[in-house]
Amino acid sequence: MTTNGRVRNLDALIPIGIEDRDGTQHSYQVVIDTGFDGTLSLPLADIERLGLREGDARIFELANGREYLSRTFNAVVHWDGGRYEVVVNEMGKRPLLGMELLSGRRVTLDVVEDGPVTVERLGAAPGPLTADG
Amino acid sequence: MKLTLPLFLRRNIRSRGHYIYRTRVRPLHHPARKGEMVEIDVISGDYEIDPDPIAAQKRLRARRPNARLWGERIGYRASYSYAGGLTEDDDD
Repeated sequence: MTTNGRVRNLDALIPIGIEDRDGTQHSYQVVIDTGFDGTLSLPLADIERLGLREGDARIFELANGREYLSRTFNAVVHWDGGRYEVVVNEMGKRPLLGMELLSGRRVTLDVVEDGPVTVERLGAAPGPLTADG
Repeated sequence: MKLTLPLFLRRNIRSRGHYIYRTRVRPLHHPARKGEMVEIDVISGDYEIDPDPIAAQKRLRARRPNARLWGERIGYRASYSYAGGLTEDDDD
């Protein structure tokens, strides 16, 4: 399974779907962030709009070395041909996709405006809850 | 739906959750389960450990439906990093 995206303004963007509390899927363009070791970050406004289920509170380590206290939420995400239950961190102003969600996959990108981004599933990738039809 | 939790409540959860982690979880489970996530109910003190935090939360909520959860990654200062890597804690 391959997910296709594009480079825009030096951001590597790929499409994913996130289910709201009623199970309706909403489309997002998320930025691949290899410095982030979690699964997904969303701004609080998007978390509120989707009505995501609350998980826990925890500490995050920021790029400037500071600690940040925040809450996490649980969401069902559609990407790479399946539905995955993931932790969503409340953080920042843009949706970010981290290395944990990319685990077991190959990422290639041409870093030129409108260049292709591909995420390809390898054998080691964790399986989805269910496959997308 | 407004989700913003008052700062004083977040700090209370942190202080109680980290106290339970430091006094009850880490002494028993570090270093054997270093790197795994622990989910702590700050109300009861009950907790679950799992590499997958959602799995730990589900088991804990099955026992404690009204749990108020605090998460820590065993042996590290933070649970997740936006800095390209986690810093180990210095509690030894």
